[in-house]
Amino acid sequence: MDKLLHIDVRKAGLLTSMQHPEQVQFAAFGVPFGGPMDQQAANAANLILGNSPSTPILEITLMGPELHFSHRCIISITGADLSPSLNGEETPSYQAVNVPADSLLTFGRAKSGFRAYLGIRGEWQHAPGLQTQALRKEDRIAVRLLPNVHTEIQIQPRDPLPLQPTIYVSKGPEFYSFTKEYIAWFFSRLWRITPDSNRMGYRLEADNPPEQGPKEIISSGILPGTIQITGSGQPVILMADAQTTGGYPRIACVNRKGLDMLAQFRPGTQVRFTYQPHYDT
Amino acid sequence: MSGPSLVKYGEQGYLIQFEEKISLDVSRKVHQLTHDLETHSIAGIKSLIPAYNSLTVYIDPNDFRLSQLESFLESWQASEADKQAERRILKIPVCYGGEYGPDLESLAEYHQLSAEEMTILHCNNLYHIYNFGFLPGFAYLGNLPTEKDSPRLGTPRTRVAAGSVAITGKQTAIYPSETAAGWQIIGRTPISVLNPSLEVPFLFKAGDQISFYPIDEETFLEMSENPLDWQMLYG
Repeated sequence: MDKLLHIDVRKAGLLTSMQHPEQVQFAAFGVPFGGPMDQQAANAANLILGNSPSTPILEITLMGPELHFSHRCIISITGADLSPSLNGEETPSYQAVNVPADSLLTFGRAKSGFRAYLGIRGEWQHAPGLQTQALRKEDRIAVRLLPNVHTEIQIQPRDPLPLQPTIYVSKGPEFYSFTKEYIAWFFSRLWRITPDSNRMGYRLEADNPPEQGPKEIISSGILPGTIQITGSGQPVILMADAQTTGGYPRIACVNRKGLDMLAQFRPGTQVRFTYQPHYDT
Repeated sequence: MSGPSLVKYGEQGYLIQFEEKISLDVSRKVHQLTHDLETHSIAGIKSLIPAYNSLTVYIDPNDFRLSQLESFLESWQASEADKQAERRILKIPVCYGGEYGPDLESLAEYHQLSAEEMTILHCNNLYHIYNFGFLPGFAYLGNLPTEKDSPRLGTPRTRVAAGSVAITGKQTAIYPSETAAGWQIIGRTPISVLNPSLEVPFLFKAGDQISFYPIDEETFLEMSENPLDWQMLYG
């Protein structure tokens, strides 16, 4: 079995991108880590198929693409429920799905979450790039088919998202440079994720922030989950495609689990931060 | 002088913080430590992000043991004095002014110089690469020997060509790829500082030293058509 499966992009959707695992080797050259926003869901998609964890996946945002499959293959869809259907019939998530040759995968109404992941059994013939690139109409993905494995892996989707979720954070490197008033405000507020949030960062709506303290630092490294406070007092949670260094003070850090949750929040969602001393030790 | 401090940076990181200033001396220590940590390979360290006066360590908490990094830092601090890193010097051709450097005239005026004097000032200097950021392969070079800091553009340009040579504050840089950008553009180099088809796709690395020399438009066009082997630039 040595066939090359082609997946042709008939419609790109809102933002569909191929994601390899985080690229860590060029961070010192300013290359963002990248990788799936919801790593837990992306890993699940590959696990279900028996793919190695380093296999790429497609990250599908809110409005899904239309994808044509040339050959028979096995796929899995995880993360957000964007009403996937295969050749016009509803298809289940969080399990391996047989795709006949010459099939069309489409998506419909976004029922829950923001980002879905599409895993395909096989070896993807694509090397990671230096930056996330949105798939476009007429792009073609090539996957060398591998024999199926029966994994019997059962992965339950995460619980439905709470209405006003709590994100656990630890202290950022500049935590102590902020005023007590700002810190109290930061942890007491219900923050709304603004529409200009994306894979680089989630901006949070802030009006009339209290005095924050120093507004700049000497540019320093950024990790996924770092929360910077910009000069106007607005927090930005830095996500997978964030630039590698930044000059705003870092008040707090979201942990990996929190990042996976945030990846599924749509703009407009309100979140609260809770300090988790456990992560500081 | 006390050594760098080590602080926790979220669930997946540590920050090694040096003195609170931007200086060549501090930057060299950061690059030396980055280099030494890379060659020493401590379990659980996924990535290192050197910056002006700090080194961010991205870890896999499952494999990483803090005590290993702590003892490494202790012995590193003790032996640091005798280090002398090898430093490459790269010479970068730039076509200054005109359509390639639309801000050269006004920026020269701001510094009360002629365009030619501004060009000479930019060329007669050896720049140190402090760190990378903003875009893949975007290197922050300093220090520009002007008396005053150069301001950013009031309104950033929505499109700046790859190879554009820019100035802000006392820093200069080459845009590795086309981008929107707010620095003042004084010229353009025909050299690609980014080549995604190479195994290490970046011309520069932190700690390199860069100098610029002026070329005319004819040379610029000629060099654009016949890309140089990067090896030729290390001189």
